[in-house]
Amino acid sequence: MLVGSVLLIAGAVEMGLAYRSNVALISKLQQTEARTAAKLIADYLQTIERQAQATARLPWGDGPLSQHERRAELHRLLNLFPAILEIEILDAQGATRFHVSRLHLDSPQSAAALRQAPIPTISAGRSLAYGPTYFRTGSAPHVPLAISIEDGAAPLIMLLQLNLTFVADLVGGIRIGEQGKAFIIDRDLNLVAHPNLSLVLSKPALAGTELARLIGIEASPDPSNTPLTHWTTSIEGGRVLTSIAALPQPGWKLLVEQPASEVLVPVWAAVYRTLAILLIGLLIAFLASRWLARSLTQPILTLRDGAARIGGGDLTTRIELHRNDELAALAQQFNLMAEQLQGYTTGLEDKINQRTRELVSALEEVRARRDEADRANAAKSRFLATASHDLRQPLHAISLLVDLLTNRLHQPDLTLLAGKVQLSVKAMENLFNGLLDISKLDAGVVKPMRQPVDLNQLLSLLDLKFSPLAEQKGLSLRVMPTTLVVNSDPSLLERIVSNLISNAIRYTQQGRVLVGCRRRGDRVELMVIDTGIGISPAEQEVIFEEFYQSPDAKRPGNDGLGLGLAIVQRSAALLEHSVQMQSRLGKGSSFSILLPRLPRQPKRPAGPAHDVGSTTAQDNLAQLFIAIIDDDATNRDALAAHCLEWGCHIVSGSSQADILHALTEHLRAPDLILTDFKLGSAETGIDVIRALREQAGTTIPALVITADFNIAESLIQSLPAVRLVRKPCSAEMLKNATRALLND
Amino acid sequence: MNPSATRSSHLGRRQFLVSMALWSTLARSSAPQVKAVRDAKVFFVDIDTEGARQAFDRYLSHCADLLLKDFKKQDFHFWPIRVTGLEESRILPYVDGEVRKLIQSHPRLAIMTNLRIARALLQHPFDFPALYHTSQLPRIAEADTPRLIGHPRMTGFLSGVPLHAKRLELLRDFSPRVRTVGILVDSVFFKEDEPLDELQASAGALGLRLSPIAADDLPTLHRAVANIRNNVDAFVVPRIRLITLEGPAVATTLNQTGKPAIHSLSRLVRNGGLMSYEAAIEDAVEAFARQTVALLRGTPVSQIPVEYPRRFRLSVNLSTAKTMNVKLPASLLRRAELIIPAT
Repeated sequence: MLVGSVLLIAGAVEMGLAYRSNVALISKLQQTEARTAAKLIADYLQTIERQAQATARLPWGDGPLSQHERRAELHRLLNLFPAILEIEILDAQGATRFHVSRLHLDSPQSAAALRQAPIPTISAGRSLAYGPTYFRTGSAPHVPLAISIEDGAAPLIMLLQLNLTFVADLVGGIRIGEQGKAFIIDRDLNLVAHPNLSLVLSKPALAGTELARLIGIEASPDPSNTPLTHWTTSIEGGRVLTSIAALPQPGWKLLVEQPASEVLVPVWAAVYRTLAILLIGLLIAFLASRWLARSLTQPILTLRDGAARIGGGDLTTRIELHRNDELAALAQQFNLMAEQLQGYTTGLEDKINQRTRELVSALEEVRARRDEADRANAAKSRFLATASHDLRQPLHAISLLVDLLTNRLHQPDLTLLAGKVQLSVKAMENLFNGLLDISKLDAGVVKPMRQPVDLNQLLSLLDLKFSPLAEQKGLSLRVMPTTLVVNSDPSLLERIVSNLISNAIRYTQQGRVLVGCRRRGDRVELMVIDTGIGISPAEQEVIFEEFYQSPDAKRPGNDGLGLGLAIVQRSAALLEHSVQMQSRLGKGSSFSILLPRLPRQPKRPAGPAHDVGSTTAQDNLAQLFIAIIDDDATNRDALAAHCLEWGCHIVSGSSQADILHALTEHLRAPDLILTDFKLGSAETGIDVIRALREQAGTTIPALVITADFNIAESLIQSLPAVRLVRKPCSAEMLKNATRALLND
Repeated sequence: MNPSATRSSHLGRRQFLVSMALWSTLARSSAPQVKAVRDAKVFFVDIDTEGARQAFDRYLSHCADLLLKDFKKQDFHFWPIRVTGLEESRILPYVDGEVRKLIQSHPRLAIMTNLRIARALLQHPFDFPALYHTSQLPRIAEADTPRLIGHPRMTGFLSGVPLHAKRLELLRDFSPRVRTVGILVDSVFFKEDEPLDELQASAGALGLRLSPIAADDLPTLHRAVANIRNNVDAFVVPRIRLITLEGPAVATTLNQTGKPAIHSLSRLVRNGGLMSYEAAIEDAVEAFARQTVALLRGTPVSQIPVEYPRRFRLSVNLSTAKTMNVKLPASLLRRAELIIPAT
């Protein structure tokens, strides 16, 4: 680039210098040619002048020459110069004494009439004078030349009319270069001689033209200040280089012009030469720069590529530079570095491989243990599921049957015995439920299903559940109504609050149990307060452990197992609810749960007001037509017996098809559905409820009784007028649930 | 158009390539002239005589000098008008036919060297420039052919200069004893020459008397010369139609009278005539060449003025004088520009 710029600048400078020097040279040459041409014209005119003056020296006045001889002398002058058209000899008065002509008769009388220009006045001290040029009628430009004749006392004048086309012949013969030409302009800016005679005859107007201005500059007082040549516009058009030379005697200007194309030929030659040199120089510079760039960059590129390969992990790469300079030394250092890196990398790789093998072995061991734990967990889950369902079923049946038996015995001793059996069954139920619940919580098979929970509804059910027990102990159980809604699992929350209330009633001998809620910011604090025996500070640290019971509680008739608070703690932890306790020995205890609060839900359409203590139309279940579905015949019969005890009409079946078939013998749809959840094969109580409702064309209230702890509350709540009752349940619980359902 | 061809002829192709880029203005200004010259097809129309063909050759030579490398000889053609032997009544229709053919040839330029041919061209519409030549006096030519002078597509050379008076003066200078001069006239075309009454005045100024001699054709001339031989001392021979057709025969006829005759064409002096005084016809050929080049280079006809003769030449044939046994005075010999020496 730099070299190219230098060459370009040098070329431009050379072209500029070539232009200036060539134009200057041509200008000087043209000036010389102009002066030479002017001298040629001047010589021609001077030859005519000298010959005419020689003729004029003859004795034209009175003298020895005859008229014939004098006329012959004038004809001789005509013959010498074809440019002379006519000659007159005039006396001082302007009368023609002699006249010779190429066109007219040599008659002095007619000469004056034929004259077309005034006679030039010869200045004092001069022997001749040129008049202004003129165009003869039907002919070319002419100029009159007057020459004084000193012949004794009577001065005469010889008047010649010169045809300037002959001067034009001379001008046309002057060669200025190849296309240059010379021409003459007179003092009145008439073109009087030009190689192109047609141009002269057309009398071009030169006044005001560039040529006229040029002639004016040349005529300046100090010619030394004027340039030798000028760029002008030719009479025939086109740019020309023009030089001017003066013809002092006629007062004319001889101009020499050359077209720009010819003048600039040497300039073009210099331009071509310069361009050629420039191109060659640029080519050489380009090739040299390429060679230098390659010689410099190639080893650097080799180094770069080698370093890139080493950086990319190919440590076997070695950079080969067959040079003896710093780059070769650098390549050697690169190779040394790669060699060392290769050594380090090899050792490191061995260590990594060893560690990787150890890690894989450990991972396999961990995976085996995890699989074993998974299998154990699965076995535990299967056991719990089986225990939860298969053990609850007979227990549920026993409970219902014992209740039924107790109601049917009329002998006092048998009744007392049945009552003891009933208490034992009750204790076994509680123990069984507690054990299963704690086991499920520990096993992690219980999955909380959070949803909005209406605390008022929950507490109302618990109120219904525990009021009889409280009354039995002579306690006052008070559940404070609330409008708060929390986000929790309704089943687990019910279990938590139920355990707390159960404990409160169990450990309170007199006084009351209060259940209520209050806001705590974005939380709700649910409290169960009792006036019971209280918990000592030492006990407070252990009461949440399994199977812990207060020593004061271990007396006959207290059927607690010490699992209630353990279940509360585990369930609360599962739900991420905080459980707090305050207690004073002998004064009572207060348990509270902090629950996440939700905005209040719109109220359900108005229905029968729920009043725990009131008796509604459905409190009396007599005359209800109940459909009972259970695949276990014992359970089904126990349920049927209880319903008949309540004064209800029943229809029962083991499956959906069975109950639908049985209903064909009745003329009405059932008022209530009591169904087990799992009915064998893939059929569930939900399917039966839907089928019966579809057949009846109305939403028949339904209770789903199940021993499966994993049934989602949401599944039940997706159907209207359906409640869930978990096995084992007593007849009283079943009856209360039926009442609550019918009162919804 | 191929501007590079002509440009390269001046500067060379290599120079032209660069000059096109650096001096395009100059190149554009030259282009129209180049086109005009290269499309040239020029017809030089003249009566088919040896003299006319010589004039065409001189014309070509001048054109070559002026056009230099632009000159292409194949662009220039001589168009002969062959009227020798034709009856008078058939000459004009023949010329008209030739002019029609000329127009149909779509020339770039036509040179009508004869007034009669130029007149024939004026009878038809044409769209090319033309040059004409006439030896008639300008005022006579203008009156005779009003559309010729100032025509928008025609210019040329008017060689008509009233030189008969000068010829009479030369006859008197030849011999002071000359008193009566016979002047050949064409009864049909005499009006194309100088008016006889004006000549009579000039002759009177010289102390001479003019005597017209019928010269419509050679027999007529022979008869007239036979009848008047003893009544005239010399002859003046204008450029009448018979001179164009039978010039040498006319000169011979007049020489046989033993009386001096002055002709209007030096060509006749070369062919046996005693002497002549004329406006040099070479000026017309040179003018045609200049005007041709200007027209071919695109100059409008209106910018090319009509040219006139500038050289006047006395020619003498010493051989004829010797044959006629007459002596030419030294004063005439000194004034003569062309002298055919005696054999």
